[in-house]
Amino acid sequence: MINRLYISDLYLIITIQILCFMKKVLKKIRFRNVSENFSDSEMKHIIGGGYIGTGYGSSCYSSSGSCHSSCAFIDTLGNPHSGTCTDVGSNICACVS
Amino acid sequence: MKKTGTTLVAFLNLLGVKHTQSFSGQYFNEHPHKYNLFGLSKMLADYGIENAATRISDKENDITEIQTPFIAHFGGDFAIVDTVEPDKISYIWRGIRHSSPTAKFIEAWSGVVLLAESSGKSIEPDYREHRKAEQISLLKKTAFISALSMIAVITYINQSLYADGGISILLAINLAGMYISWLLLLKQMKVQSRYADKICSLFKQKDCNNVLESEGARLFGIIGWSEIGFGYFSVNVLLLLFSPAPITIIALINIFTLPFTLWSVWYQHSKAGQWCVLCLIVLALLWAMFTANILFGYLPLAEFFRLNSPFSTFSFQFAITASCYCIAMLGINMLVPKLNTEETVQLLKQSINSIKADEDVFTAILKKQPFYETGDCDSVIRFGNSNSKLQLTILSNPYCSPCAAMHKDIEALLTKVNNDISVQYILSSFNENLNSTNRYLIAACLSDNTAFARQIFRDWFEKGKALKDAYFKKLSLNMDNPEIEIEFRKHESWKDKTQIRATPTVLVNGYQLPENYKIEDLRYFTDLDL
Repeated sequence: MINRLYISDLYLIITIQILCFMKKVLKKIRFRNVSENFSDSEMKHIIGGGYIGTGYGSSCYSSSGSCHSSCAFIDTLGNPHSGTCTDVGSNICACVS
Repeated sequence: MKKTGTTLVAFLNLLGVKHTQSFSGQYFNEHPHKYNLFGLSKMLADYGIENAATRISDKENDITEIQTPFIAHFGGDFAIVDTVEPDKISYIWRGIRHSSPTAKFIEAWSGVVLLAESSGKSIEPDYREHRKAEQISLLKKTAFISALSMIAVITYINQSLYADGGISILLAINLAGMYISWLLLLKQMKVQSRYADKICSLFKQKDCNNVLESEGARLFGIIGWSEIGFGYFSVNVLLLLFSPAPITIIALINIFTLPFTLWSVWYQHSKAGQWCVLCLIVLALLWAMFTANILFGYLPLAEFFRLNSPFSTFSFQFAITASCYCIAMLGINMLVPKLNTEETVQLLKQSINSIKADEDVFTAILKKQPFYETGDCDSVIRFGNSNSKLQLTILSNPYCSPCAAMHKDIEALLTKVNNDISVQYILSSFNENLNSTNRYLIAACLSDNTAFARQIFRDWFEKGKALKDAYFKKLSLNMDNPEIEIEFRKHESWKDKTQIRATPTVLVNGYQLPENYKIEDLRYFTDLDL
């Protein structure tokens, strides 16, 4: 009797654990459950490539090592932007427009 | 050479997708859309990685719920987020791992993410070939270094240099100097080196690049200190191994390097505001050499006083040794740009590719090309999506080799765009005796089984060509169908109407494909309105 109870409890615990794990996994935002994904043309307008700076010589960093208050940059498509230099930690100063 | 770790390479590493550093790096660097999310998405798709981009509206609450790794649009660039904790986030940006407070990261994050998931099918295109090439390249480098090492070791033993503790120590110092200078040279050439990155990240600033890219990294703005360092240590090793006689001169020249060490420390501290760990190690090695020279008595002052005679043996040896340094340093200085052409070529290729992939540019060039009236009914030999905006018409010849190569490209294009373009074939032939092949191929397409017809075309151009009509015998095609002759005549009249004779000729919505464009370039224009 005790043994049977013990095994059934064990099954229950394992099942709960699996369900908890699955809930945790399924809850995650994955590419499969993205409902409003960008189209190709929308993605072409999300540009990266070089207006974030680290340390010496970047547009966003002063020689004293602190972020400037404002910054300007031209993106890879040639469009001008202005923004605020934001210290995002890890010695990175990002120009956030 | 392996270029600096790219977003693609770093992401593939995290996803555990089989790839080669050299191809992935080159593929990313030359991609026309490397600077936008569309490009990253397409690149991942080419590796068989399913992906989707979206915007997370509730950034603060949802960031911990996103499946890692993911690509985030962060501070106007792309970062690969590796782990997310409520108070700390770890991400890779430009090949370097960073860690920031989550709140600060969110401030610079636009909320845009590219989510991806690899599967068993995710792999680099032509991975085996690339891997083999990479291994052969590694083998060549290993053989080269082994041969050099063997000469050095044999000389060291043969000349009983091990008996002189001072020379052995100086050799060790200079070999270490050579290696560190080599790492600095790699950094200067922007070639990826895990060891260089690890050493450079010993201090807070994460890398040595800021110092190495500053004005002070070059003597008079002409010759890099890393080139001088590598030349200096290499000559020292060669002289110590093969000509230990001028050791006093090596020791004397070492004294001249010491003021540089003071200047370098001042420059890094006061001007650059950051430390370059690799540079500091070189400086320490120069001082270690000086210490060893004093300890082992390689700096006898009496020798120096003999310098007053310009034609003494010492002066000759000094001049020759100094010339050796000059030759090595200037040689390396002249060689580095040649070794670095790969980066320039990749930059140029990327620029050209990005211009070519621009829809407005393509449309403008295409519309200047000769135009031929084409339509849906020109041929029954059709592959892909007949309703696509992009309609390709190809005049091909079953027996022409460039046509076979073109068909391979067409197959690759159809795969890459998920068959979302329309391709129709008009067949031509070298002479009337070969017309029967055209009829067989038409018969295959009239069978109403597109997959079957496509397979026959693929096989024909790959291996069937050599067998001629014998290839079709086993296929049991219905050659009595009267539609075959009608279709055949239609192709003949199309050629007469357009007067096109060259095969293969590719028409894009009726316009001849411009010479500067390849079939594979059309993958970016599937939605183009012409």
